[in-house]
Amino acid sequence: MSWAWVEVKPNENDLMHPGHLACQGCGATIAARLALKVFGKNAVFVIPASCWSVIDGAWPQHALQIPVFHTAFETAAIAATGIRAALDMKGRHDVHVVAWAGDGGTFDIGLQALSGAAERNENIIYITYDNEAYMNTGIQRSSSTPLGAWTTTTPDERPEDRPKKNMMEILAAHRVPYAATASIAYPDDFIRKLKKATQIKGFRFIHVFSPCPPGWKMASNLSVRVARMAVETKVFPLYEIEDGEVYTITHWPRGLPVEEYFKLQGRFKPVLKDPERLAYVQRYIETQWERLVRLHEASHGYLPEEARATIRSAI
Amino acid sequence: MKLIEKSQYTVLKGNYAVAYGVKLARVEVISAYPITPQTTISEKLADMTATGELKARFITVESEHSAISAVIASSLAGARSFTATASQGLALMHEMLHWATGARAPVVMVNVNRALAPSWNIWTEQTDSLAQRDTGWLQIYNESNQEVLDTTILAFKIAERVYLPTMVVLDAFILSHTSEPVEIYPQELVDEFLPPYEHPNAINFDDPRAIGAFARPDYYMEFRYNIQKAHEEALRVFKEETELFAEMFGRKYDTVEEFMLDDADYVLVLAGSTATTAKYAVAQLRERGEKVGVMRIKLFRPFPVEDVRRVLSGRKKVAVIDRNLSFGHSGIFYMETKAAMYGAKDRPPIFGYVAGLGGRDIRPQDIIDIYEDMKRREEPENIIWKGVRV
Amino acid sequence: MAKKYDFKASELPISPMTLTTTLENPTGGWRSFKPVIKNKTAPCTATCPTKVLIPHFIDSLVKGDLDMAANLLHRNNPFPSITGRLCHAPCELPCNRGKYDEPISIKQLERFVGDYYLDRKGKPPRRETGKRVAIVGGGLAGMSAAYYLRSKGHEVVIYDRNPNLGGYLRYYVPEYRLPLAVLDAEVGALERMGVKFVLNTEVGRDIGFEELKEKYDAVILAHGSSIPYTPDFPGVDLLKSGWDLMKEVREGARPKVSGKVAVLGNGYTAFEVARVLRRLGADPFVVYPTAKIRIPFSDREIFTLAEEEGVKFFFAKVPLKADRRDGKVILTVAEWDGKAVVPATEREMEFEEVFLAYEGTADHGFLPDTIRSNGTLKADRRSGETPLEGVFVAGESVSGPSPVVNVIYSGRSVAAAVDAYLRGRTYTPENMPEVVGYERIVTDYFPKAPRVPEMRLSPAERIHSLTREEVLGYTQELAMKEAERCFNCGFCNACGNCYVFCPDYTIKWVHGRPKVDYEYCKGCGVCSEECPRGVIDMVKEREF
Repeated sequence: MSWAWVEVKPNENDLMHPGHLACQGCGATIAARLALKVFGKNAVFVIPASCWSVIDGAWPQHALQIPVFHTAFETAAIAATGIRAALDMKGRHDVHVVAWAGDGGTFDIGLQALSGAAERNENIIYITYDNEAYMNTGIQRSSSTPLGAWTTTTPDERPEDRPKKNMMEILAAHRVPYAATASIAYPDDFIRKLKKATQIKGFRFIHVFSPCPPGWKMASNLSVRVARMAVETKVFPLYEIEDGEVYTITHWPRGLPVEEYFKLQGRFKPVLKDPERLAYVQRYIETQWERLVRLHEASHGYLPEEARATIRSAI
Repeated sequence: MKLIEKSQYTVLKGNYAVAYGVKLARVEVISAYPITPQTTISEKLADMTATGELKARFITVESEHSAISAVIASSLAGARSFTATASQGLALMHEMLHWATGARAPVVMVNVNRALAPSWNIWTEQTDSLAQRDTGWLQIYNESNQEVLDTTILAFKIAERVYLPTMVVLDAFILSHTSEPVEIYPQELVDEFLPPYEHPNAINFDDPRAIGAFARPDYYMEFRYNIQKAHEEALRVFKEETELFAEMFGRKYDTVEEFMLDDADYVLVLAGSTATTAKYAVAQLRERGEKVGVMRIKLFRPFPVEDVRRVLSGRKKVAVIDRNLSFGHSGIFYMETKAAMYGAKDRPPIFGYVAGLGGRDIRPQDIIDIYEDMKRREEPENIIWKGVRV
Repeated sequence: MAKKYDFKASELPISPMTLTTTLENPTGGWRSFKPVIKNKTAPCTATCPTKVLIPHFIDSLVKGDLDMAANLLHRNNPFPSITGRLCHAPCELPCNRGKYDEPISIKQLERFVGDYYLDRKGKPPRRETGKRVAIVGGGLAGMSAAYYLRSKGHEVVIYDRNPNLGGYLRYYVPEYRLPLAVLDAEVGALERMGVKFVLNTEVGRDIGFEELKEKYDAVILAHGSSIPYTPDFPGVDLLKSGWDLMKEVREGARPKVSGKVAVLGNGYTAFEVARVLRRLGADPFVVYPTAKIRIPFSDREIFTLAEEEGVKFFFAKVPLKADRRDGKVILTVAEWDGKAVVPATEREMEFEEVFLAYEGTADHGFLPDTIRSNGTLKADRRSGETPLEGVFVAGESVSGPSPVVNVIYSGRSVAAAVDAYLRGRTYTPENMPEVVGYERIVTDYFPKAPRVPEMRLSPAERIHSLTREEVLGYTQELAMKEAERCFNCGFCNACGNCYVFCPDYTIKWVHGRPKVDYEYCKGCGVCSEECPRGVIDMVKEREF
């Protein structure tokens, strides 16, 4: 092995300055760096209230080498729409308008504007960097917080008891031309999806899994590993949905037990201590995964060989 | 003026006057969400953009919050932007009204004054717009459909000179849905008055910056200082532009309108279409030999303190008639007028009347009653209800 | 600390628009651990006696730069075509990949690269030092020392009593194991480098040791352990010499041997003689002094080959007596417990012939007493320095019978010591960098893949030829496929992970390599964690 990446090229569009204000090991900054490699300079990021409102720097500083438009918490999709409208009026069809929002700004407070923009098929790219809670405000649960997780509002005594909201299904229900999940641990997959998204006109949604070391109670060096484990344990599958209909799993995970993912993080301590709850979570993951596999099969008419190994109970 | 000869004279509802004003201003991005009594503005603009009469993108958003968010963004992406709303819609926008000011987005919004729920009420009342007093928007109140059209054009000119968002306010139904003769100016003349929109801090791909980045306490305050300075500047700009407008279009507006005030001992202060009723009543009172006049507040923000003082100083009594209420205190124009007069020379006693909430009619006789009530009273009161059954 | 400004309100932009970049914010101050990109090494290299840069040359192989691969390989091993055939490959034992699926086939990769470059190897040095070195003995140790000293620019003259270089490899090791063509090419490379050979000249007989010392700035004694050991028991003189048999066969003779034959020996030679006998049509038995489990690792491969070919063994036995009766040899053997003969275990066995195939010993007769003691040489094992100034010893002449790679290393390290001596410097042995263990390998980046088997003849094919090479090695395609399995432990092969995953863009990519920007690096450790091969360490910034 030498240069290990197909899609990521060295020194191509490195448009994020160091010195930004992200915590050590921030997954959201890895996601942004990789995304910028695809968009290049011809993009504007619309950032609602989220970690990235801070990361990009305190005035007068700015970390990205593209324009950024900061906006209110619930307005990422619509502010992006407004900018798209203005740029279209100015004939700037060559630039990408990218809503760059956290999970709270997407799954919760921003859902209405997101739904509006998705339904109108606005010509924007909406990327949610998902760290599974309100991290910037100090780790409160969001509707993206997964089953069993600790947050400051779902303490150890009463950890999150509802599964993560399935944003992809919500987007699929809008019949948007493109929706995909991605992970910072799989840069090639992420970049392929970004590239695909840039080739499509209309509303494009990318859900990128971005670990948060302080919020997930883990060491900062584990960000990428934990993201990888999320994929390999089927907790966060990598797939895409075209036109709300065609499901494609883009990476077949190894199907490791969920503990492999949980044990790297302090936030799942209550689940790890409770075998019953852990079994329940594992069952939930299996059901969700099997459902996704069936959708893939229904979309393509067959399953690749790798698929079998990932399914515990035979389909 | 030869160009004026090409004007179209037509009969328009207030909301359509807005739409024609928007069209003449060559707005590029429009975003609005339906709410009575604003809806016909959106409908007309949707129509205009659909036929190509107006080359603009109309974004049919899913809420007023999104409507305003869209135009703030499009404005800072370099497009002249417009939205319209009323009442609940404006209240929902509240967060973004602050945002527009902070970001210095010179968007223009028309608010059709409507009472807030509950109870549901679609009729006129000024509390919705006045409740947004501290959001940093310029607020301009109107009395007629022609003024609505003119003010819409003026609003863009002023907003884009001081980079502050501007709200053009008209009364529900009384203006919005009532037809009046309106002169629609030739496009060339409006173009001459209103140059294409440019924002020095608009999104620029050749010089990438972040707009709206967080600022620590060591920098935030200077930005706020600048917004206040811009408001102070707006007062000057308002005068300059209304002056120029008068020169070019033949209609003169001012921060406050003075009606039969030359020798008046008593002044009725109000805003919006009720001024027309008041003027009618005052004319009748004048026939009876009463020395009374009307001061109509057109520009509410920035508040024209000097003009108000100039007009009201030395009068015997002043009654402010508010079709709005700041619960727990008084009518808002009253509050503002009183505050402006504090420290003025020859300050008259000022009486606060609240009338016509939720669209209840204010008839000429009501105005006459208020005048007589004021004359009779010794001590001014903050809140004197007119027409409420107690 | 971030840069501070005292902007006046009038100096601000209209909108709260940024004016500068976060480059004004040197976040390096946040750091308590800093990533350090290190030059480490792999367990294979650490285990290799001559420290072949295994991860390095395999990386070049993967990148398709075969010349560079050869170059890296030759740095610590001048004769990969020889080791690629004869080495017992201790490197493959600790291979981290072995803990994951199967170890890398390092030996075959080495052979592939060695053979690829064999005919082009050997360039004269760019600069001559004018110093002259004599090497006594043109075996592997002498050749290895010659290679390195010559490449340092010294004039090197090899004295050998034989008509050609190579020693044991040329005159004993069978053709099927090491084709002469390979050895000739290696000798040719030395010739091209400008090494001079004085052949058919035995030091002590044709030229005196003192004379060499006079004529040269330094002398390396690499005369090997070329005298076969003969045990002492009654009737030993009735037995034949396995060494002679190997030599005859190497020279082309095909003596007739058939039926049950025995081979007495204690190492490689015994196994090889047995294999030669098998090919000549006999049914060989090896009488071996230790238990099967005790066969040293260095002889395991040859033992397995012999066993596959039908050679039989008597383990933990020693000969006590030999007799000749009716044209047969009656050999008396007994159990050997490692220290002594086990009483009452004597047993007679009948063979057509019995061959002596013990490992060799050195003959130091031509050397002065000052550097001899009890039949061994007084010399430092690594530098080869002796009490005589300018006289060094390399290879089996000091170590006794050793695997080829150890002999090559001896030649190389002594050459380094001689070079230091000639330049008036102090010889410092190489330091071994930190070894990357399996726990530092991020196996997620390596899909499981079985070891690519090399092409080799079957035992049935092997026993029919004394000349056809038994192991055929890799084609380029197979070599590349196998090379791609390598973890490249401890060697930064510029995979890019640290650059790709750096959340702060403080790992820059400069001339195809990662470089840490410490001004901004926050020390999160993602680079260290995601380095697939343990190259980046997090080092404590300061003590608190």
